[in-house]
Amino acid sequence: MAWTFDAPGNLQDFSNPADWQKEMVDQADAIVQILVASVLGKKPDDVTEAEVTAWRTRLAYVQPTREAVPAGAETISIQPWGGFPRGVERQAPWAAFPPVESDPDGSFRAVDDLGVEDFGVGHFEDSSGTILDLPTRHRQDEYLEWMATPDGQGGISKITFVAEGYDYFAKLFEKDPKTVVKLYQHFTGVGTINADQLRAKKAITWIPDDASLVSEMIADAGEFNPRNAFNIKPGIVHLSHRANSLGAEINLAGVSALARKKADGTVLDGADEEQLICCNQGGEPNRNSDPKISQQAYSLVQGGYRYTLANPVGLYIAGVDEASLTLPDGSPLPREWWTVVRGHDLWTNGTSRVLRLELKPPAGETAKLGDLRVGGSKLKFPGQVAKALSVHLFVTRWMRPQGGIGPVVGCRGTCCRIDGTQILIGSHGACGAGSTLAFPGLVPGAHGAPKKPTMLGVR
Amino acid sequence: MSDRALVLDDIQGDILAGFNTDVQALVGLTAPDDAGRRTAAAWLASLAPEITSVARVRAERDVMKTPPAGEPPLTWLAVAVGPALLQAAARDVFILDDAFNEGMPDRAASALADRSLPAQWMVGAPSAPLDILLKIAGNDATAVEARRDTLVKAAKAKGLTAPYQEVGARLADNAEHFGFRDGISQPDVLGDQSATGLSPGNFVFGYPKAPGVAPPRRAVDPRNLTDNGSLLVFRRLAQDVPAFRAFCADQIKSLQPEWPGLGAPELAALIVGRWPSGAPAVQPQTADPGVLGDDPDNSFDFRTDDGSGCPFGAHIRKVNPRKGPADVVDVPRILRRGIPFGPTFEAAPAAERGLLFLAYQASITGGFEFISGHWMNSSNRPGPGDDVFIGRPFDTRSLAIPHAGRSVTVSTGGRQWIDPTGGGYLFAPGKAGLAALATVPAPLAKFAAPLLLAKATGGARRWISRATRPLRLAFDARRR
Repeated sequence: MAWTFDAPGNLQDFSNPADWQKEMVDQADAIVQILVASVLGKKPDDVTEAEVTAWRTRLAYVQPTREAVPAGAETISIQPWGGFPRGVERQAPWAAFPPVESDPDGSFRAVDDLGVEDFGVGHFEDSSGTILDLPTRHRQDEYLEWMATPDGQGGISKITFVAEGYDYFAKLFEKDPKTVVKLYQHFTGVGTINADQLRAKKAITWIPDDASLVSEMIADAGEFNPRNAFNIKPGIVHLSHRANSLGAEINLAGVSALARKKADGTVLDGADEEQLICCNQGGEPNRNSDPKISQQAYSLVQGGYRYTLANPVGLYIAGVDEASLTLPDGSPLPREWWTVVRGHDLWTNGTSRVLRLELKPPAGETAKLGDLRVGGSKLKFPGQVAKALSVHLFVTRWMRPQGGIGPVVGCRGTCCRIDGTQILIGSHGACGAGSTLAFPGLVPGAHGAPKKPTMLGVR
Repeated sequence: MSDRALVLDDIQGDILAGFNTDVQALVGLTAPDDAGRRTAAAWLASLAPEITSVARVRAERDVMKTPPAGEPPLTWLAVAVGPALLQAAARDVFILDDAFNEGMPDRAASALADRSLPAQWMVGAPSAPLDILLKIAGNDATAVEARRDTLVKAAKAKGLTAPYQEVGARLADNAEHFGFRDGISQPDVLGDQSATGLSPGNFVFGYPKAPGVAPPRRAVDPRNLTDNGSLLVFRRLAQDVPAFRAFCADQIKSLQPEWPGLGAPELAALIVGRWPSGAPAVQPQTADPGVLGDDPDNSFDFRTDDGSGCPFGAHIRKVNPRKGPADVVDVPRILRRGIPFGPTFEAAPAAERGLLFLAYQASITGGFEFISGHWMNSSNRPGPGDDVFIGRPFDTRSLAIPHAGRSVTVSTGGRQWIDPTGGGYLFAPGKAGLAALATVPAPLAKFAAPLLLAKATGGARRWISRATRPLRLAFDARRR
């Protein structure tokens, strides 16, 4: 049976589902091309169609519209990761946020901060040179973002969580801008939003202060602006952090599909998830999500599996630690407080494909969100609830009929650790001043000579 | 950056070395009010020289095990203080941990899924808060009890009451009451007889959490009073041995069609993740393989175990994923120092028994509460499945066990065998910090007015009113 790429969560946003199908086919093709390039030691653009054809069946990652998925293939959810950013916890206590009730180390305020840290140090500007202020939820980087709706009395009336990539909305906007406008109007409550307010009037580019780093196009003129202000305030429609794209997930699952060897030729065992992701440079090593996704994909490779991201490809809220939310009398919070707005199947382990989730008092309930306890503390910050949420994705896998683990290639790079911190930054082997090689032996000649490190992740 | 060496003669011995003695007496002391707490703090400060350090435990371990003929039996002493006492005695000190500041009674339902009523707790009930917890340890019960009595008498002379006293005793083979060897898996601490362990800042204030990293600020503490201290979780857990045994017996009967020949010991081992001897439970074992030598294997990991060897929901996988599937990269660990209480079921079936769970860490919210709330009580973190053994004791839990190519499910149906009966969150200061409790902080006068104001307006109950306002004044003072 022909493989179909449905929209995440089986949503029906696209008037012509073939538009999304084509987008996903293109991405899957690109992943295979990248993988074959890695095997052959070429640049992806230099890989020929014949080479792709010759090698694709040996890869662990499968482009499912080019190769048939066996009838006995198994679809599983990978182990969920925590929705609260690891980077925020690691940097606590936050000096900028002095101790207050329910947030003594400042993490819950730091995580709700808006800014451009997801891009680094620099600025956005349009093609006319005008500097743009485009802050997003720049610390919510575990493929989960959220927003609290104020109740007008200093409290919170609703908390909304989303796991939908901004690139999905960009593609939808390209094909069905009216649908995106409707979604924005609905989820922000601003009925006057029009398409022009969501698009980049002129091309938007990120310009890093460090001239050795490359600039990055955010949106071309007329395209969807993923950092538009309506997604930040007064509502939340989709993920906004630079690293929270569906494409990042696909890329990561793909580049993790090759067994990797260290400089001395020994195959990486994948036990250290940070080391693995520094080797394959598929994502951000300072998160929970990317290292964990990469490690689990790699374990499929090691286990002799072939796999693809399961249909519908998406990032999903995996579940809620229900036991950690309680009513004022200490009893568990009834499920009626949760509303699945987009997606489905929240309450069955390993099946959830929830994309948008709300927490609010059900009709007739006298208790307010501020009366609840979560993780032991009074609910004052939405990030407290985010700690009770997890995120996951699905893969479809099957054993290689001939056994083996497929091609083994060298590491694409390594990581340097910024001195005095636990922060890892990607490197091709050299570490700049103020940083130290974190994983010696991954690439030949890795050393600590001064050289600008590169940033990891999909931009 | 060179990391600071551990100050082993200041850090309390039970934290890093573990007393691990045959007998351990716990005493919970309560002061009548803040004035009483300050009096108590001064008394505790005078005890500082008596507190047993890590260095002393290490130096005396052999003597503790084998007392020289004619010498009186050794005893060791540890102490921890509750938030109310710390705030009364050291108003300039504020530990940045919600759990410690709010206390176990207010948080237990949400953080621990503990549906027991704190008002009925045997220890740590709101009516008798744990201002001080003493732990007196030794291998001679008479000596332990004698020292305990001396301390209790001295405490009472200072106006304290002792609403909680209990003696824990090691069972044969270091087992807990369900029969499983306990306390096997303890994290190594870097710099404390280990070159590869976790950095001490995961357990002790004033040290890095990772090599080369600056120590995290665990407290607002201008006098460095919390240095070398650690946060202590104490939880009294009653164990219903016949209930657990009956559950396993009933389950194997109902599972016979799916799993012929399954024995209750095998099922219990898969629920725990270890056999009674401490040997890791790995299918298809059907009997306890025992352990070689004194110590069970603790070197294994679950990196290649997809749940078919040891179920994902097995207790030991829920509290320590050991490189298997997990939801976080940074795996929290705690130093467990618990001991059973009560006679064995075989010795006195009608008696109460259980575990005096004690654990040290640098963050309760990031340590014990994370492991309990996010892992033991979760059905999908760090791996799939409920911790049938201990997780969410008042709810129905289920555990999937792979067998013969399919999944066999064990469900509790709401049956219970763990009953939380109290506890508390405390701080175990270093010896120098304990001694400093007797010193009134210089800026105290500046804090008095807002504190009185907060109390007058009813805001004093919450720590934000007690501590944050004064602290901000302190910051303002420094800026000036």
